[in-house]
Amino acid sequence: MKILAIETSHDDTSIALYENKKIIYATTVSQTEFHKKFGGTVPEYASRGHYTNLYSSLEEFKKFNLNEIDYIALTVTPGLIGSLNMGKVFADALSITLNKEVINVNHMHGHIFAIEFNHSITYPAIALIVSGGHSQLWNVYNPNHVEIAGETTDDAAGEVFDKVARRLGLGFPGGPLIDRCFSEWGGDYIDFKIKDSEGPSFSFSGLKTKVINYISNNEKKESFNKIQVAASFQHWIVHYIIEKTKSFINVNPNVKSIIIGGGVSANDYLRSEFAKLHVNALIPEKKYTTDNAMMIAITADLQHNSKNGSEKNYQNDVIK
Amino acid sequence: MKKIFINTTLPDLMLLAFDGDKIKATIVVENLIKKADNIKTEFKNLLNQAKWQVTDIESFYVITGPGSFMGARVGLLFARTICQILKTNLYILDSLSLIANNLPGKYSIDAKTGEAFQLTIDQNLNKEFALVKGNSFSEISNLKIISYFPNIFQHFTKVQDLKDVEPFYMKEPKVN
Repeated sequence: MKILAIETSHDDTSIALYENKKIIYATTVSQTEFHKKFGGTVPEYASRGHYTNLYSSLEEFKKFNLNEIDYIALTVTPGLIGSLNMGKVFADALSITLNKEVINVNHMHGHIFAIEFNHSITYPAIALIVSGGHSQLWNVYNPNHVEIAGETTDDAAGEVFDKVARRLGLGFPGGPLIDRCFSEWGGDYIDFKIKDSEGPSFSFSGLKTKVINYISNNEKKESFNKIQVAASFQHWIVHYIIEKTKSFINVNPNVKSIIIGGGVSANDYLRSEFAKLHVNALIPEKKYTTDNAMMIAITADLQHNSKNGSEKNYQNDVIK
Repeated sequence: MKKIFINTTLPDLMLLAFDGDKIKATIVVENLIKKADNIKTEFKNLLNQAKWQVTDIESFYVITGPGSFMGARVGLLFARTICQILKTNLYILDSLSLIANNLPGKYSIDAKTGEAFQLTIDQNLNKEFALVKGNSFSEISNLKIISYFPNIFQHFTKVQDLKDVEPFYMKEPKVN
Protein backbone atom coordinates (compact mmCIF):
# COMPACT_ATOMS: atom_id res chain seq x y z
CA MET A 1 0.00 0.00 0.00
CA LYS A 2 1.42 3.39 -1.00
CA ILE A 3 0.78 6.18 1.51
CA LEU A 4 1.53 9.89 1.67
CA ALA A 5 1.76 10.71 5.38
CA ILE A 6 1.57 14.11 7.06
CA GLU A 7 2.64 14.95 10.61
CA THR A 8 2.25 18.47 12.05
CA SER A 9 1.29 17.80 15.65
CA HIS A 10 3.89 20.09 17.21
CA ASP A 11 6.49 22.25 15.46
CA ASP A 12 8.00 19.83 12.94
CA THR A 13 6.47 19.75 9.46
CA SER A 14 6.99 16.23 8.20
CA ILE A 15 5.81 14.45 5.05
CA ALA A 16 6.68 10.92 3.96
CA LEU A 17 5.97 8.78 0.92
CA TYR A 18 5.82 5.16 2.00
CA GLU A 19 5.20 1.74 0.52
CA ASN A 20 5.21 -1.65 2.28
CA LYS A 21 7.36 -0.75 5.29
CA LYS A 22 9.82 1.21 3.14
CA ILE A 23 10.25 4.96 2.94
CA ILE A 24 10.40 6.17 -0.65
CA TYR A 25 11.05 9.77 0.36
CA ALA A 26 10.65 11.80 3.54
CA THR A 27 11.25 15.35 4.61
CA THR A 28 11.01 17.04 8.00
CA VAL A 29 11.35 20.79 8.48
CA SER A 30 12.20 21.66 12.07
CA GLN A 31 11.31 24.95 13.76
CA THR A 32 13.54 24.31 16.80
CA GLU A 33 16.01 27.08 15.91
CA PHE A 34 13.22 29.64 15.55
CA HIS A 35 11.57 28.76 18.88
CA LYS A 36 14.90 28.61 20.77
CA LYS A 37 14.74 32.32 21.63
CA PHE A 38 11.40 31.80 23.41
CA GLY A 39 12.72 28.86 25.47
CA GLY A 40 9.97 26.64 24.06
CA THR A 41 7.44 26.36 21.28
CA VAL A 42 5.04 29.28 20.74
CA PRO A 43 1.89 27.60 19.34
CA GLU A 44 0.81 30.44 17.03
CA TYR A 45 4.29 30.72 15.50
CA ALA A 46 4.35 26.93 15.11
CA SER A 47 1.12 27.14 13.06
CA ARG A 48 2.55 29.96 10.95
CA GLY A 49 5.66 27.88 10.38
CA HIS A 50 3.61 24.90 9.23
CA TYR A 51 1.74 27.10 6.75
CA THR A 52 5.05 28.14 5.17
CA ASN A 53 6.85 24.78 5.44
CA LEU A 54 4.01 22.73 3.95
CA TYR A 55 4.53 24.55 0.65
CA SER A 56 8.26 23.83 0.38
CA SER A 57 7.78 20.26 1.61
CA LEU A 58 5.10 19.49 -0.98
CA GLU A 59 7.31 20.91 -3.72
CA GLU A 60 9.82 18.13 -2.97
CA PHE A 61 7.15 15.47 -3.54
CA LYS A 62 6.06 16.79 -6.91
CA LYS A 63 8.79 14.67 -8.54
CA PHE A 64 6.65 11.62 -7.67
CA ASN A 65 3.36 10.71 -9.26
CA LEU A 66 1.11 11.41 -6.29
CA ASN A 67 -1.89 10.04 -8.17
CA GLU A 68 -0.38 6.59 -7.55
CA ILE A 69 -0.82 6.74 -3.78
CA ASP A 70 -3.58 4.66 -2.18
CA TYR A 71 -4.18 6.80 0.89
CA ILE A 72 -3.19 9.95 2.71
CA ALA A 73 -2.33 9.38 6.39
CA LEU A 74 -2.68 12.23 8.85
CA THR A 75 -1.84 12.84 12.49
CA VAL A 76 -5.07 14.01 14.08
CA THR A 77 -4.35 13.89 17.81
CA PRO A 78 -2.86 14.68 20.28
CA GLY A 79 -0.94 17.87 19.64
CA LEU A 80 -1.11 21.64 19.36
CA ILE A 81 -4.55 22.35 17.94
CA GLY A 82 -3.37 25.05 15.51
CA SER A 83 -0.57 22.83 14.22
CA LEU A 84 -2.90 19.84 13.82
CA ASN A 85 -5.33 22.06 11.92
CA MET A 86 -2.63 23.00 9.40
CA GLY A 87 -2.00 19.33 8.69
CA LYS A 88 -5.72 18.67 8.39
CA VAL A 89 -6.44 21.49 5.94
CA PHE A 90 -3.41 20.47 3.87
CA ALA A 91 -4.42 16.78 3.87
CA ASP A 92 -8.02 17.65 3.00
CA ALA A 93 -6.94 19.80 0.07
CA LEU A 94 -4.72 16.95 -1.19
CA SER A 95 -7.54 14.48 -0.62
CA ILE A 96 -9.84 16.47 -2.89
CA THR A 97 -7.15 17.15 -5.48
CA LEU A 98 -5.89 13.55 -5.68
CA ASN A 99 -9.25 11.95 -4.90
CA LYS A 100 -7.78 9.83 -2.08
CA GLU A 101 -9.17 8.95 1.33
CA VAL A 102 -7.54 10.27 4.51
CA ILE A 103 -6.64 7.76 7.25
CA ASN A 104 -6.58 9.42 10.67
CA VAL A 105 -3.72 8.35 12.92
CA ASN A 106 -3.15 8.98 16.60
CA HIS A 107 0.30 10.51 17.08
CA MET A 108 1.06 8.32 20.11
CA HIS A 109 0.24 5.19 18.13
CA GLY A 110 2.77 6.45 15.60
CA HIS A 111 5.47 6.50 18.29
CA ILE A 112 4.54 2.94 19.29
CA PHE A 113 4.46 1.40 15.81
CA ALA A 114 7.52 3.25 14.44
CA ILE A 115 9.45 0.25 15.76
CA GLU A 116 7.98 -1.84 12.92
CA PHE A 117 10.50 -0.29 10.51
CA ASN A 118 13.18 -2.30 12.28
CA HIS A 119 11.49 -5.06 14.30
CA SER A 120 8.20 -6.95 14.23
CA ILE A 121 6.31 -6.61 17.46
CA THR A 122 5.37 -9.86 19.19
CA TYR A 123 2.09 -9.38 21.03
CA PRO A 124 1.06 -8.70 23.70
CA ALA A 125 3.59 -5.95 24.18
CA ILE A 126 3.99 -2.90 26.34
CA ALA A 127 5.28 0.46 25.18
CA LEU A 128 7.07 3.26 26.98
CA ILE A 129 6.56 6.55 25.14
CA VAL A 130 8.56 9.50 26.46
CA SER A 131 8.70 12.83 24.66
CA GLY A 132 8.47 16.59 25.14
CA GLY A 133 4.71 16.40 25.51
CA HIS A 134 4.05 12.91 26.86
CA SER A 135 5.28 10.21 29.24
CA GLN A 136 3.12 7.13 28.97
CA LEU A 137 3.00 3.38 29.44
CA TRP A 138 0.79 1.41 27.05
CA ASN A 139 -0.56 -2.09 26.70
CA VAL A 140 -0.24 -3.06 23.05
CA TYR A 141 -2.38 -6.03 21.93
CA ASN A 142 -2.42 -5.47 18.15
CA PRO A 143 -2.26 -2.41 15.83
CA ASN A 144 -5.92 -1.62 16.47
CA HIS A 145 -6.01 -2.49 20.14
CA VAL A 146 -3.77 -0.37 22.32
CA GLU A 147 -4.64 0.92 25.76
CA ILE A 148 -2.95 3.60 27.77
CA ALA A 149 -2.12 2.27 31.24
CA GLY A 150 -0.55 5.32 32.82
CA GLU A 151 0.87 8.72 32.01
CA THR A 152 2.44 11.69 33.68
CA THR A 153 0.31 13.60 36.14
CA ASP A 154 2.38 16.78 35.68
CA ASP A 155 5.32 17.56 33.37
CA ALA A 156 6.39 15.29 30.52
CA ALA A 157 9.92 13.87 30.72
CA GLY A 158 11.16 15.95 27.78
CA GLU A 159 9.69 19.07 29.29
CA VAL A 160 11.70 18.52 32.48
CA PHE A 161 14.88 18.04 30.43
CA ASP A 162 14.16 21.43 28.80
CA LYS A 163 13.44 23.18 32.09
CA VAL A 164 16.56 21.87 33.82
CA ALA A 165 18.71 22.70 30.78
CA ARG A 166 17.28 26.22 30.69
CA ARG A 167 17.93 26.74 34.41
CA LEU A 168 21.51 25.57 33.93
CA GLY A 169 21.92 27.89 30.94
CA LEU A 170 22.71 24.98 28.62
CA GLY A 171 20.22 25.95 25.89
CA PHE A 172 17.26 24.40 24.09
CA PRO A 173 16.24 21.66 23.44
CA GLY A 174 17.51 20.25 26.70
CA GLY A 175 17.58 16.49 25.98
CA PRO A 176 20.65 16.20 23.75
CA LEU A 177 22.56 18.87 25.73
CA ILE A 178 22.02 17.08 29.03
CA ASP A 179 22.84 13.73 27.43
CA ARG A 180 26.16 15.22 26.31
CA CYS A 181 26.92 16.41 29.87
CA PHE A 182 26.08 12.91 31.12
CA SER A 183 28.59 11.26 28.79
CA GLU A 184 31.26 13.85 29.72
CA TRP A 185 30.81 13.39 33.46
CA GLY A 186 32.80 10.62 35.16
CA GLY A 187 32.32 11.49 38.83
CA ASP A 188 29.71 10.96 41.54
CA TYR A 189 26.06 11.83 41.14
CA ILE A 190 24.27 14.29 43.39
CA ASP A 191 21.41 12.52 45.16
CA PHE A 192 18.23 13.60 43.34
CA LYS A 193 16.46 10.34 43.99
CA ILE A 194 12.70 10.69 44.34
CA LYS A 195 10.13 8.44 45.96
CA ASP A 196 8.38 6.11 43.56
CA SER A 197 4.61 6.35 43.38
CA GLU A 198 2.21 3.41 43.01
CA GLY A 199 0.97 2.25 39.61
CA PRO A 200 2.06 3.04 36.06
CA SER A 201 1.60 6.85 36.24
CA PHE A 202 4.58 9.19 36.23
CA SER A 203 5.24 12.36 38.20
CA PHE A 204 8.33 14.41 37.39
CA SER A 205 7.60 17.59 39.34
CA GLY A 206 9.30 16.35 42.52
CA LEU A 207 12.55 15.61 40.70
CA LYS A 208 12.35 18.90 38.81
CA THR A 209 11.86 20.88 42.03
CA LYS A 210 14.73 19.04 43.74
CA VAL A 211 17.13 19.88 40.90
CA ILE A 212 15.98 23.52 40.52
CA ASN A 213 16.22 24.07 44.29
CA TYR A 214 19.70 22.53 44.33
CA ILE A 215 20.80 24.91 41.56
CA SER A 216 19.31 27.95 43.35
CA ASN A 217 21.01 27.03 46.65
CA ASN A 218 24.40 26.12 45.23
CA GLU A 219 25.08 27.98 41.99
CA LYS A 220 27.12 30.71 43.66
CA LYS A 221 29.39 28.22 45.45
CA GLU A 222 32.81 27.51 44.00
CA SER A 223 32.18 23.78 44.12
CA PHE A 224 29.08 24.08 41.87
CA ASN A 225 29.53 22.10 38.67
CA LYS A 226 26.70 22.30 36.18
CA ILE A 227 27.96 19.30 34.22
CA GLN A 228 27.63 17.28 37.43
CA VAL A 229 24.11 18.64 38.05
CA ALA A 230 23.00 17.84 34.49
CA ALA A 231 24.54 14.35 34.62
CA SER A 232 22.98 13.65 38.02
CA PHE A 233 19.59 14.82 36.82
CA GLN A 234 19.81 12.48 33.83
CA HIS A 235 20.97 9.60 36.00
CA TRP A 236 17.97 9.93 38.33
CA ILE A 237 15.27 10.66 35.74
CA VAL A 238 16.34 7.61 33.74
CA HIS A 239 16.47 5.57 36.95
CA TYR A 240 12.90 6.66 37.75
CA ILE A 241 11.56 5.90 34.23
CA ILE A 242 13.27 2.51 34.16
CA GLU A 243 12.01 1.55 37.63
CA LYS A 244 8.46 2.50 36.60
CA THR A 245 8.74 0.42 33.44
CA LYS A 246 10.19 -2.51 35.37
CA SER A 247 7.23 -2.45 37.79
CA PHE A 248 4.83 -2.33 34.84
CA ILE A 249 6.49 -5.35 33.25
CA ASN A 250 6.22 -7.18 36.57
CA VAL A 251 2.44 -6.75 36.65
CA ASN A 252 2.24 -7.82 32.98
CA PRO A 253 4.34 -10.98 33.06
CA ASN A 254 2.92 -12.30 29.77
CA VAL A 255 4.32 -9.53 27.59
CA LYS A 256 6.37 -10.89 24.72
CA SER A 257 8.10 -7.66 23.78
CA ILE A 258 8.64 -4.15 25.13
CA ILE A 259 8.87 -1.05 22.95
CA ILE A 260 10.31 2.39 23.59
CA GLY A 261 9.51 5.50 21.52
CA GLY A 262 9.22 9.26 21.54
CA GLY A 263 11.86 11.98 21.41
CA VAL A 264 13.35 11.22 24.83
CA SER A 265 14.00 7.64 23.68
CA ALA A 266 16.88 9.06 21.62
CA ASN A 267 18.70 9.46 24.95
CA ASP A 268 21.64 7.03 24.92
CA TYR A 269 21.55 6.22 28.63
CA LEU A 270 17.80 5.54 28.58
CA ARG A 271 18.21 3.29 25.53
CA SER A 272 20.98 1.27 27.15
CA GLU A 273 19.04 0.84 30.41
CA PHE A 274 15.81 -0.02 28.57
CA ALA A 275 17.63 -2.73 26.60
CA LYS A 276 18.35 -4.55 29.87
CA LEU A 277 14.69 -4.82 30.85
CA HIS A 278 13.51 -7.62 28.56
CA VAL A 279 14.87 -10.19 26.14
CA ASN A 280 12.69 -8.57 23.43
CA ALA A 281 13.37 -4.92 24.20
CA LEU A 282 12.66 -3.16 20.89
CA ILE A 283 14.46 0.14 20.39
CA PRO A 284 13.85 2.22 17.24
CA GLU A 285 16.50 3.88 15.13
CA LYS A 286 17.00 7.43 16.36
CA LYS A 287 15.51 8.91 13.18
CA TYR A 288 12.15 7.39 14.11
CA THR A 289 12.11 8.68 17.70
CA THR A 290 11.29 12.34 17.11
CA ASP A 291 8.04 13.47 15.50
CA ASN A 292 8.02 12.26 11.89
CA ALA A 293 5.57 11.34 9.17
CA MET A 294 7.26 7.98 8.55
CA MET A 295 5.81 6.59 11.77
CA ILE A 296 2.38 7.92 10.80
CA ALA A 297 2.61 6.12 7.46
CA ILE A 298 3.55 2.73 8.91
CA THR A 299 0.88 3.03 11.63
CA ALA A 300 -1.80 3.85 9.04
CA ASP A 301 -0.68 0.83 7.03
CA LEU A 302 -0.70 -1.55 10.03
CA GLN A 303 -4.01 -0.26 11.39
CA HIS A 304 -5.68 -0.25 7.99
CA ASN A 305 -4.52 -3.78 7.26
CA SER A 306 -5.43 -4.98 10.73
CA LYS A 307 -9.04 -3.81 10.50
CA ASN A 308 -10.96 -0.66 9.62
CA GLY A 309 -8.27 1.74 10.74
CA SER A 310 -9.60 4.38 8.41
CA GLU A 311 -12.90 4.47 10.25
CA LYS A 312 -11.34 5.54 13.51
CA ASN A 313 -12.20 9.08 14.34
CA TYR A 314 -10.08 10.61 17.06
CA GLN A 315 -11.03 13.81 18.84
CA ASN A 316 -8.34 16.45 18.89
CA ASP A 317 -6.56 16.75 22.22
CA VAL A 318 -4.79 19.97 23.00
CA ILE A 319 -1.35 20.30 24.52
CA LYS A 320 -1.38 23.53 26.49
CA MET B 1 -14.18 30.96 -16.61
CA LYS B 2 -14.90 28.96 -13.44
CA LYS B 3 -13.92 30.82 -10.28
CA ILE B 4 -14.11 29.96 -6.59
CA PHE B 5 -14.20 32.62 -3.88
CA ILE B 6 -13.10 31.57 -0.35
CA ASN B 7 -13.29 33.62 2.82
CA THR B 8 -12.46 32.01 6.17
CA THR B 9 -11.08 35.14 7.83
CA LEU B 10 -14.36 36.53 9.21
CA PRO B 11 -16.76 34.78 11.64
CA ASP B 12 -18.69 33.10 8.80
CA LEU B 13 -17.31 30.62 6.28
CA MET B 14 -18.17 31.83 2.77
CA LEU B 15 -17.62 29.86 -0.43
CA LEU B 16 -18.93 31.07 -3.78
CA ALA B 17 -18.70 29.53 -7.24
CA PHE B 18 -18.87 31.74 -10.33
CA ASP B 19 -19.15 30.78 -13.94
CA GLY B 20 -17.83 33.92 -15.55
CA ASP B 21 -19.61 36.72 -13.73
CA LYS B 22 -22.63 34.60 -12.87
CA ILE B 23 -22.97 33.10 -9.42
CA LYS B 24 -23.43 29.36 -9.69
CA ALA B 25 -23.34 28.12 -6.06
CA THR B 26 -23.20 29.65 -2.59
CA ILE B 27 -22.21 28.24 0.78
CA VAL B 28 -22.37 30.40 3.89
CA VAL B 29 -21.96 28.82 7.34
CA GLU B 30 -22.57 31.45 9.99
CA ASN B 31 -20.35 31.80 13.07
CA LEU B 32 -18.31 28.75 12.25
CA ILE B 33 -15.42 28.45 14.69
CA LYS B 34 -13.98 25.17 13.45
CA LYS B 35 -13.37 26.19 9.86
CA ALA B 36 -10.41 23.81 9.50
CA ASP B 37 -12.67 20.87 10.31
CA ASN B 38 -15.37 21.88 7.85
CA ILE B 39 -13.77 23.44 4.80
CA LYS B 40 -13.35 20.14 2.93
CA THR B 41 -17.01 19.13 3.38
CA GLU B 42 -18.33 22.57 2.51
CA PHE B 43 -16.04 22.84 -0.50
CA LYS B 44 -17.33 19.47 -1.73
CA ASN B 45 -20.90 20.70 -1.19
CA LEU B 46 -20.11 23.78 -3.27
CA LEU B 47 -18.68 21.68 -6.10
CA ASN B 48 -21.74 19.40 -5.97
CA GLN B 49 -24.08 22.39 -6.16
CA ALA B 50 -22.15 23.78 -9.11
CA LYS B 51 -21.82 20.31 -10.66
CA TRP B 52 -18.08 20.83 -11.07
CA GLN B 53 -14.96 18.76 -10.49
CA VAL B 54 -12.01 20.37 -8.74
CA THR B 55 -10.11 20.16 -12.05
CA ASP B 56 -12.76 22.39 -13.68
CA ILE B 57 -11.75 25.37 -11.54
CA GLU B 58 -9.62 27.92 -13.34
CA SER B 59 -9.05 30.41 -10.53
CA PHE B 60 -9.33 30.73 -6.77
CA TYR B 61 -10.05 34.14 -5.22
CA VAL B 62 -9.06 33.99 -1.56
CA ILE B 63 -9.27 36.48 1.31
CA THR B 64 -5.98 36.51 3.25
CA GLY B 65 -6.92 38.35 6.47
CA PRO B 66 -6.74 40.15 8.77
CA GLY B 67 -9.23 38.40 11.02
CA SER B 68 -8.59 35.40 13.24
CA PHE B 69 -5.04 34.06 12.86
CA MET B 70 -6.31 30.57 12.10
CA GLY B 71 -9.02 31.85 9.75
CA ALA B 72 -6.42 33.76 7.75
CA ARG B 73 -4.55 30.52 7.13
CA VAL B 74 -7.33 27.99 6.53
CA GLY B 75 -8.78 29.23 3.24
CA LEU B 76 -5.40 30.24 1.88
CA LEU B 77 -3.65 26.95 2.73
CA PHE B 78 -6.55 24.96 1.31
CA ALA B 79 -6.58 26.87 -1.99
CA ARG B 80 -2.78 27.17 -2.23
CA THR B 81 -2.38 23.38 -1.89
CA ILE B 82 -4.88 22.70 -4.67
CA CYS B 83 -3.20 25.34 -6.85
CA GLN B 84 0.21 23.83 -6.11
CA ILE B 85 -0.83 20.44 -7.53
CA LEU B 86 -3.25 21.48 -10.27
CA LYS B 87 -1.53 24.74 -11.27
CA THR B 88 -4.80 26.62 -10.83
CA ASN B 89 -4.56 30.44 -10.72
CA LEU B 90 -4.69 32.08 -7.30
CA TYR B 91 -5.83 35.66 -6.65
CA ILE B 92 -5.80 37.34 -3.24
CA LEU B 93 -7.35 40.32 -1.45
CA ASP B 94 -7.34 41.43 2.19
CA SER B 95 -10.52 41.22 4.26
CA LEU B 96 -10.74 44.99 4.93
CA SER B 97 -10.65 45.82 1.21
CA LEU B 98 -13.40 43.24 0.71
CA ILE B 99 -15.62 44.92 3.31
CA ALA B 100 -14.77 48.33 1.88
CA ASN B 101 -15.64 47.22 -1.66
CA ASN B 102 -12.65 49.42 -2.46
CA LEU B 103 -14.58 52.65 -1.74
CA PRO B 104 -13.18 55.61 0.27
CA GLY B 105 -13.83 55.51 4.01
CA LYS B 106 -12.64 54.00 7.27
CA TYR B 107 -13.25 50.31 7.94
CA SER B 108 -12.42 48.13 10.91
CA ILE B 109 -12.56 44.51 12.06
CA ASP B 110 -12.32 43.16 15.59
CA ALA B 111 -8.70 42.29 16.41
CA LYS B 112 -9.69 41.14 19.95
CA THR B 113 -8.31 42.46 23.26
CA GLY B 114 -9.67 45.96 22.62
CA GLU B 115 -7.97 46.43 19.27
CA ALA B 116 -9.19 46.81 15.70
CA PHE B 117 -7.66 46.13 12.30
CA GLN B 118 -8.33 49.34 10.42
CA LEU B 119 -8.18 50.36 6.78
CA THR B 120 -8.49 53.96 5.61
CA ILE B 121 -9.09 54.55 1.90
CA ASP B 122 -8.73 58.19 0.77
CA GLN B 123 -10.44 59.85 -2.20
CA ASN B 124 -7.53 58.85 -4.45
CA LEU B 125 -8.07 55.25 -3.31
CA ASN B 126 -4.76 55.18 -1.41
CA LYS B 127 -4.92 52.59 1.36
CA GLU B 128 -3.50 52.75 4.87
CA PHE B 129 -3.69 49.78 7.24
CA ALA B 130 -3.30 50.17 11.00
CA LEU B 131 -3.81 48.25 14.22
CA VAL B 132 -5.67 50.68 16.49
CA LYS B 133 -7.32 50.74 19.92
CA GLY B 134 -11.06 50.54 19.69
CA ASN B 135 -14.21 48.51 20.02
CA SER B 136 -16.26 49.82 17.13
CA PHE B 137 -16.26 47.73 13.99
CA SER B 138 -17.69 47.92 10.48
CA GLU B 139 -20.94 46.10 9.89
CA ILE B 140 -20.35 42.95 7.90
CA SER B 141 -23.27 41.53 5.96
CA ASN B 142 -22.93 38.43 3.79
CA LEU B 143 -25.61 39.69 1.41
CA LYS B 144 -23.74 42.95 1.03
CA ILE B 145 -20.46 41.15 0.36
CA ILE B 146 -22.12 38.92 -2.24
CA SER B 147 -23.57 42.03 -3.90
CA TYR B 148 -20.00 43.34 -4.49
CA PHE B 149 -19.46 40.56 -7.01
CA PRO B 150 -18.48 40.36 -9.82
CA ASN B 151 -16.96 43.88 -9.74
CA ILE B 152 -14.83 43.13 -6.69
CA PHE B 153 -12.87 40.51 -8.68
CA GLN B 154 -10.88 43.30 -10.36
CA HIS B 155 -9.39 44.33 -7.01
CA PHE B 156 -7.79 40.96 -6.34
CA THR B 157 -4.08 40.53 -7.09
CA LYS B 158 -2.82 37.54 -9.04
CA VAL B 159 -0.22 35.47 -7.15
CA GLN B 160 2.82 35.03 -9.39
CA ASP B 161 4.68 32.59 -7.14
CA LEU B 162 2.79 30.46 -4.62
CA LYS B 163 5.75 30.32 -2.25
CA ASP B 164 5.37 34.07 -1.63
CA VAL B 165 1.70 34.10 -0.65
CA GLU B 166 1.29 34.67 3.09
CA PRO B 167 -1.74 35.31 5.31
CA PHE B 168 -2.18 38.98 6.23
CA TYR B 169 -1.95 38.77 10.03
CA MET B 170 -1.31 42.45 10.88
CA LYS B 171 -0.52 41.41 14.44
CA GLU B 172 1.99 39.26 16.31
CA PRO B 173 0.83 36.68 18.84
CA LYS B 174 1.28 37.21 22.57
CA VAL B 175 4.26 35.27 23.90
CA ASN B 176 4.25 34.39 27.60
